[in-house]
Amino acid sequence: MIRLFRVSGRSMLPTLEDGDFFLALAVRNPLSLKPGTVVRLIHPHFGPMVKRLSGYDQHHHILLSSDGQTGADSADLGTIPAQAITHRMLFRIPRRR
Amino acid sequence: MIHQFIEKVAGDSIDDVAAHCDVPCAIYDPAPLLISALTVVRMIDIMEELESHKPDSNIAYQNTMARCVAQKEEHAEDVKHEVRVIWGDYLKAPQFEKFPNAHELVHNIMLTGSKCKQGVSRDDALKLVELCNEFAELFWATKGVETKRAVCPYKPSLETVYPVL
Repeated sequence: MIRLFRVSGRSMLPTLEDGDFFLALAVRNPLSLKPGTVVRLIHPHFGPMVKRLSGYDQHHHILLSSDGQTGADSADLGTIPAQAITHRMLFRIPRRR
Repeated sequence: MIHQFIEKVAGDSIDDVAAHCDVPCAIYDPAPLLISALTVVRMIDIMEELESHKPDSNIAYQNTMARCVAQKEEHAEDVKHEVRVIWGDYLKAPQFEKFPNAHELVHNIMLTGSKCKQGVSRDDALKLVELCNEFAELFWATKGVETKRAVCPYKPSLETVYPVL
């Protein structure tokens, strides 16, 4: 139900830094999540990643964005079904204080 | 403190999630940086042209000048960004061995790009275009793609490197 994940990369700066942990709650109905939620998903090609949910399209695909300036967004990541989302972030456990 | 504790007791069992900046998509092309470098020259040309004519309206003059300055700034920065991406993400040890001047060339583009942001020297902007041409030739050479130089079919009508595909 609740899991810890470790962030690898800097595309979610300043929300999440490389090496941070975050505690996340399993998501049963991804379509109920509000845009702006930070989610953990399994991308069909690129595997597990953390992104910010920016919305849905009419086919229930999810739109994603990175918080960092150079991070990938939906234009790079392609269409992803909402079911790819497995968890939503509850809070961050920073690597550095 | 909490992070250290968790890392110590459960670090190995925690799954990584990627927050990588690059997918990687493997799409690299020096065309955008060349267009940006040409735009820097064009903006300086428009600014000089504007300055040489007595403005009908001071507000209109300032508006156009401000827009040109903003575009020059943006495109010079775009050059630096595009070069950095190719240098940092695409070029690797085998290319650096084959093209040992790559680092110096990229550094020169960075310096000249900044000069173009700071000033309005057309010579600096021309130098930026030439350095970008050399970088484009280097990039295509790493892929074994032949290049040619031709005058771009739009102002500022400068010699530009194109791949022969």
